[in-house]
Amino acid sequence: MAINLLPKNLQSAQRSNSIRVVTNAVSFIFLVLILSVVIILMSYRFTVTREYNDIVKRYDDYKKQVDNYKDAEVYLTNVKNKVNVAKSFIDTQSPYGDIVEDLQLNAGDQIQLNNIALDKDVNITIDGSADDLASLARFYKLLNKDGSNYIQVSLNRLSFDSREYNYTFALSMMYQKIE
Amino acid sequence: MAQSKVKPKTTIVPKQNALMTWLLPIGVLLFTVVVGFLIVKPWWEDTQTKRNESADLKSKITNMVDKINTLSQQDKALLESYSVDLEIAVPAKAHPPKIMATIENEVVKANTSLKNIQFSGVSSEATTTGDENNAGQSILVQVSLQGEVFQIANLLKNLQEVKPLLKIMGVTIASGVASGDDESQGISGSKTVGFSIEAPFKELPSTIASESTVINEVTDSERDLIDQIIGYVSLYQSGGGPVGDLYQSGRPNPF
Repeated sequence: MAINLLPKNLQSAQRSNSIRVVTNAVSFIFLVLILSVVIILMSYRFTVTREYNDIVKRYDDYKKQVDNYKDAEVYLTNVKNKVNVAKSFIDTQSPYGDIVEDLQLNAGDQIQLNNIALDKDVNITIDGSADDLASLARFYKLLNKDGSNYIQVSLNRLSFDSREYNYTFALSMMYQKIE
Repeated sequence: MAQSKVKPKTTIVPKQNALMTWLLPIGVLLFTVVVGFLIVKPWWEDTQTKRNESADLKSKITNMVDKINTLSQQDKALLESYSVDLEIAVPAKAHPPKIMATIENEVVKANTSLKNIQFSGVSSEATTTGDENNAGQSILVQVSLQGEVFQIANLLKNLQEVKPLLKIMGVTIASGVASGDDESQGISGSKTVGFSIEAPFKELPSTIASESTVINEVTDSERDLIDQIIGYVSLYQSGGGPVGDLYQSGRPNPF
């Protein structure tokens, strides 16, 4: 290690000068960096602003073009809205007329359908009477056969009416649409 | 010996040296802080805002180009015609008398006897899309009438093919007629029928969507639906479905 033979005050001044040189150099570099950042940011901002102004101008041009088709847009919007409402209604309609017709066709002459109830989910309950059990079995079979529009067909009640001399019954089922 | 008696200089010079040493770094730091708060930060925020707005506008422009392409291909006369037909099918305003008159007209055409028709208020209904903008409302009507089964079946079918649109919500058919009339039962006997009906209406939007909102043209399936609705019978049109034949016999024995 080198021995510093200078007086202490000079040694102190020497150390101070060294530190000052380093701090000044670091400060200068830092200052240059800061100014560089400012210059880079300024040019970046200039580019972004120019691009932004171009886009705003293009947007205004297209907006004018859209405004030219306002009438068509009003009609198209109206049609789409109404079609959506109509579609939701028509898609959720159940073919009550077809069901009543089909039940009556399946019942034939030997089965009397006294009460038919179809709720909004098309759960069906039927109260009726049959001249004989074979007719009732035929009716049940037609409703419950494979590929039928009815599921969960269930005979809930069957009794012989000795006064009318026929069989009264209650059936329940669900309608399912077969595409 | 003389030299050893010399007092070391303890002057202000070291303090001045220290001040000079840290003056520039402190100045640079202050300058950095000032520049950072007054220039860099506002410029950076402004740039970021403009970048975000530019990206947003670009996306809007893409939508507007699509919209212009879609709208330029539309047949305005055809859309106007569709609007008129759909206005009859799904009116803008609730009009209970018109709905009740339509039902009554179909009841008469089906040769059934109307016993009661009652307006039960207005309900809101969300459409299948679940979109709030597409939500419509509907008029509720209760109907009771008498007729034979085949007449009732035809009536129920015809009611689903009229303008304004009607939706049957449930049906009860009971044998026999109201007291005082002929009591008859069976396939050709008169039945008492009760059902509830919903009729939709949908107000026109008071404002159209923003210029950059994408709008789709009428699809083929929507066009088919519109054509189907156009074919429905309206109160002010003559015609309607023919009354079906009386069923003479049932289906063959499956056993």
